[in-house]
Amino acid sequence: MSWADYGFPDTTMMPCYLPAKALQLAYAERETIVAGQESSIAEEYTPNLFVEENGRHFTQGSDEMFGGHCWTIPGTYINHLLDLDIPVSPFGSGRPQIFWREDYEIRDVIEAADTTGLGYLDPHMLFSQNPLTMMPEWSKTWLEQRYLAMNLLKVAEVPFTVTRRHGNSGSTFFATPQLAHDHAVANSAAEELPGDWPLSNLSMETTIYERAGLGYSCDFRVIDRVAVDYSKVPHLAGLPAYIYVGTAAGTIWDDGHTFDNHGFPIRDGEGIVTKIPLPWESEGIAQPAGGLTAGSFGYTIRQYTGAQYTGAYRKFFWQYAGVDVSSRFQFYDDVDAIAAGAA
Amino acid sequence: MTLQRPQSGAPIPRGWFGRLYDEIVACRVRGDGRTIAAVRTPSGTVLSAIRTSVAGGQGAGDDYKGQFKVGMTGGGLYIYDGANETSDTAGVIFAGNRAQEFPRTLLETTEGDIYVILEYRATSPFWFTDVHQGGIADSPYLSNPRAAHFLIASYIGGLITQQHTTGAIYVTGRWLS
Repeated sequence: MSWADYGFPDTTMMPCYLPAKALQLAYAERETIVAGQESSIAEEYTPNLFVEENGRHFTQGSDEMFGGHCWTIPGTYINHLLDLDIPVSPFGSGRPQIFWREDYEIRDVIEAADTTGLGYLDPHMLFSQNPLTMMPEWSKTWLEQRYLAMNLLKVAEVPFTVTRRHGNSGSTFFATPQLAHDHAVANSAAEELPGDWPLSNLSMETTIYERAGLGYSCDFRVIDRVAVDYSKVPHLAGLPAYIYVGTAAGTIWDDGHTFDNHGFPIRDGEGIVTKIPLPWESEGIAQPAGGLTAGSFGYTIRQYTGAQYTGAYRKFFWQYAGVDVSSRFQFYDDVDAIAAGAA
Repeated sequence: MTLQRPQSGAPIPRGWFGRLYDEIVACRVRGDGRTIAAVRTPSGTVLSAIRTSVAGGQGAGDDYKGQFKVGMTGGGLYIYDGANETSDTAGVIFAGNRAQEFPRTLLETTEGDIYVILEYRATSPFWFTDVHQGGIADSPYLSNPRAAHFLIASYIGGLITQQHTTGAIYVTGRWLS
């Protein structure tokens, strides 16, 4: 089945229950794709509730149409249309944010794409609030907005793993930074951690200490590998995957290193997020791109505080893995050009 | 009517509002289409008696003088505008902001119900009208989800029973703009 089987994208004159059922199924897909589960919504709300004229109707946007998940699903999908040259706001305040939110980013796209003059129509309304702008029962504009919103949800947040490495040259000093680094590497160890652990943040730094009369010592923390945790989502293997990551530049967590990405193509700048394909693997043990010299080079991943530790895999740090799962959806149409062109 | 009122202070069970809606809808007054007509209007539901048949080929509703009138006129059985018998238009079907004129149409004198059909196609000119005479199960439009049937009249035993007596037709239960 697909959108087209239910009349999309032009649903003019379609019976009210058919496209509504497609919306319900599309939500169910998006709710369950990461868990790899069959949809509970589809079972719970079977088409017997959609009885045509002279019977019962779903009311547009009702909880029963979507199992009450209308507002929570977008928050687990990354805004793949985000202009990554514009600073992203932290959770809890401002916009844009990296995850789709119905009331903000999705609404912005819908309003920009609106050609009817009706503007954004509340997806959750039980009944028309304004009979002057809504059709008596079933507004095609409302449906087109929901169709657009649903197709924006394509990059699902997924668990990931980080292989980090830490080493130091101890109390020994060496004649050159390279020798100090070599010794630190020889005394380093790597460990693979779940991406939502504090120690698994993607910060990298290499510090070369210069002590007059003694020489050089070295301390480093680098990332060997970042990958989707396919042990938890094996059914998503082979799909395009990315890590979205931002530094602590300009925040209280900025450690003040001279920015150096160590070959990890992260960009510097407050609120600036970089999208990097996964898996990412360092070519050898990552070193400062500017070479080994006295000083502290690297970057720190931006952190969150307090109640903003929300989401399945996004604790503590601005680093979120996403997989483009659209090819696994039955109900997906590529409307990015519409959304991006209008935005 | 099995819906129970939630106890004061107790959580409202999941799905309760949906069942409440269903019960409200089930309480709507409906006509039987033969003797009693129920028409929902913005200000309430209007009930009216449908006249029983009389001799002379014209049956119930023969005093109806509005759009989508079915009757013998001009030497044949027609759908026409009862308020303007010479008009080329029998009536208007409103589908959202679309006002589709339905032409005065000569019918066959075959037994059965008489339906007016409004169909939407994805290619220009998009909107089409047609007539179906007979059982709805035999309609060639039955499997077309974008086609709506409107029962206008019945022609049985030589008697015409006017079923549609409310003027213009308004499409409901469809996604429209």
